[in-house]
Amino acid sequence: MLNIQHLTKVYGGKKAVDDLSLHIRPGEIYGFIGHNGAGKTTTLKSCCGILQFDGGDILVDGVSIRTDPMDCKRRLAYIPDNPDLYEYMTGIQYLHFIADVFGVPAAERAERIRRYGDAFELTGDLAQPVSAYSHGMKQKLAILSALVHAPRLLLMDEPFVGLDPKASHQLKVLMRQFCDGGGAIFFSTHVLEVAEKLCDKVAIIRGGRLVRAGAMDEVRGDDSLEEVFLELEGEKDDA
Amino acid sequence: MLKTLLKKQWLEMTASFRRSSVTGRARTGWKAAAFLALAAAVALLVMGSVALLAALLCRPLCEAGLDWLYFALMALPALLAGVAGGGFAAYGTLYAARDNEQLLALPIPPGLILAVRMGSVWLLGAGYLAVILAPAYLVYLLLGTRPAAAALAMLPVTVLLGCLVLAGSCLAGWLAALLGSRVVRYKALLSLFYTVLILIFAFGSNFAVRSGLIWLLTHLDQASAGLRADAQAVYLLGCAALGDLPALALLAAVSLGAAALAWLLLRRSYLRMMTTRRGGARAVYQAKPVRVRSVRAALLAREMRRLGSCTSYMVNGLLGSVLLLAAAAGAVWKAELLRGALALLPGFAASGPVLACAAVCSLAAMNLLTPPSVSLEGRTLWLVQSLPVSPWQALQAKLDLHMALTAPPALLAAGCLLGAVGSGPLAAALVLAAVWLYTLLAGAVGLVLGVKLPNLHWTSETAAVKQGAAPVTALFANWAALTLLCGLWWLAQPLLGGFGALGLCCVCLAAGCAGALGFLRRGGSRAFARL
Repeated sequence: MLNIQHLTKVYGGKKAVDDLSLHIRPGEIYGFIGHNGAGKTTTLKSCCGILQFDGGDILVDGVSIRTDPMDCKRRLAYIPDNPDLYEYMTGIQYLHFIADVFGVPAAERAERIRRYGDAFELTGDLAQPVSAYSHGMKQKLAILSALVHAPRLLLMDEPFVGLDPKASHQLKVLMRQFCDGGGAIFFSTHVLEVAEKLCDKVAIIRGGRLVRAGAMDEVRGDDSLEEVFLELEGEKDDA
Repeated sequence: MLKTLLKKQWLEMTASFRRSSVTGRARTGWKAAAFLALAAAVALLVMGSVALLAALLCRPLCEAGLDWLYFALMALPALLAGVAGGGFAAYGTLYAARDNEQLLALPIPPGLILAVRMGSVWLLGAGYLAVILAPAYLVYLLLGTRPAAAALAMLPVTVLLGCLVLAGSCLAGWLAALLGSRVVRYKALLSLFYTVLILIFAFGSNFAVRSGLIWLLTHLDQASAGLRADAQAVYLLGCAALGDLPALALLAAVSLGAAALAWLLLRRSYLRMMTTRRGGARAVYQAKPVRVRSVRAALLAREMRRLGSCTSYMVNGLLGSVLLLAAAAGAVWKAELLRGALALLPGFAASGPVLACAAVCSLAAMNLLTPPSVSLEGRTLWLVQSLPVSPWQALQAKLDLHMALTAPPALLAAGCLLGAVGSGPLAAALVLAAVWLYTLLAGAVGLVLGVKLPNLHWTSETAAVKQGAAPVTALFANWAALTLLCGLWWLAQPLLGGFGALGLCCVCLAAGCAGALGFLRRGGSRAFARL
């Protein structure tokens, strides 16, 4: 579903991502963890075509984001860590805008808006302008807008930040359902407990380089994910 | 504390000089120099046109011993322009800055935050004034009778008039914020109404000043005696600008007093206005039948909503449309007068359609919808970049907005003017084609500048709309293109005839449009994707 091949991104002479290769298959929830500035957001932005990269390639369903970004973008949805949405629209106007761009038929979008809106308890607020939303509500709206066009791949940057416990639980359930339906999710998080429980696979990045990746049980071994992460960061003793 | 806040405000105001507004990184080397050169060139262009007007006024007034009237005539429009322009900047800087909550959360007296922000508004107002006063003084130093005294008065007068502009613009900004906090529904419509009121005031004053100016120049003795007797304030303003010490002292007392009074008035309500969220009745969502739009229509609707949400964008973007509608109404209302005026111009009687075309184009050039449209994406730029929308589609929507809101009033105004001055079908068709092509060219050039000179790291929308390099450059580029076309018509007319020359202008406009659109499709789209 998502094939990252030798991805390299350089900012002013410094390699933010260095020869990163990952393969996310349909049905997988793939966690992406690393310290602040490790290159997680750069990788995710490169995957959804927001950021041009310097080396390697990224394939979505076998289509290169370099050569056919439009086709790739039709298959995926991206949710950033800080949902800066169009504050001059109401929630429902925003959802219809996204649905129009993706050409979602009227009946399908109405059904999805109702279903996911109810799941995140946002339906009642959809007539409010986005500028009146709290951070968590914006995050929920960003998730709804990602789901309204039924993508095959979800790219999420810190999706649990700002969500209340119920919405957080709901998102985890939806993520699992999404992947059980054949979709794939690649998301970054600092909440290692969530990653440990939710992810089928995990990748750890440090200073732009992949230091470990694979099935959760393989990466973790007998330790907790937190212990593995701190060990790889060289801070286990300090901690 | 004050020093720290002033430093922060200074860093914010000069950010675009020090760091790229596209990447947010520090400008280096030739890029910084080029940016400064561009800003200087634009300022010099405006100051040059002011100097031309000043030169026309200075000599006859000074020869009549009315030096004070010269300065009064230059300072009054400067004050009006400062207050009209500064009102929106004051609202954005004082009440709509993104870091207001951050500052209010710190242990800083709100009055101090207000004072520092007002300092920023003062600097902006003094800048507006300087663009008019500096060339006025320069012309006087060359042609006037008391250059030494005027030279000494130049700086204090600019500073003090800046305080008057500050008081006026801050009160206008406060009124806008007060209305904004009280009104929950129809906010955009009320903003537009408020804006139109200010425009009517500004343009009404401008027309009054112009007609007064003509009367003044033809009745100098009578006018000066009348003004000295009936408008002492104008006389004293002129004297102060000339370095008359008592008048200068009075100006200092009035302007500093007005600024202090404005601060005291605004300080009383500042914290309350910044921290009170009245909110409105909560709109309850009810599912309605969905209207599915095409991608192009959806993107255009997004641009429309963007425009409707931002008052300063509406003002800058739709000023030309408002003036075009006024011109259309005026052409119908004063058709006889127009025909009469045209008959008085020898050699121009047959050129009525061309003059109408030039007039309409000069007004259409003032619609600056496309230049700030890229900057206004700001932190939401990621959205359109992550959607399956090509950069060209995103740019095309901005151009569609420009054409949807500029072409109809421009064509209407052209039609009404053509009806007033009289025109055959061929001339009418050529004029309408030229107007449509010029409108498209102005929008496309504005968009090219918007993509090449964006400001994505703004703290107030006003900064993106009014203080960016793209809108100012676009306005001058539009007028320069129109001047070139008029020159081309003038040169080609003896060879090709009036209509042939107009046809040639249409061909040039079409070529310009093709070039600009071609660039937007390729280089412009690449630049947009890289932002």
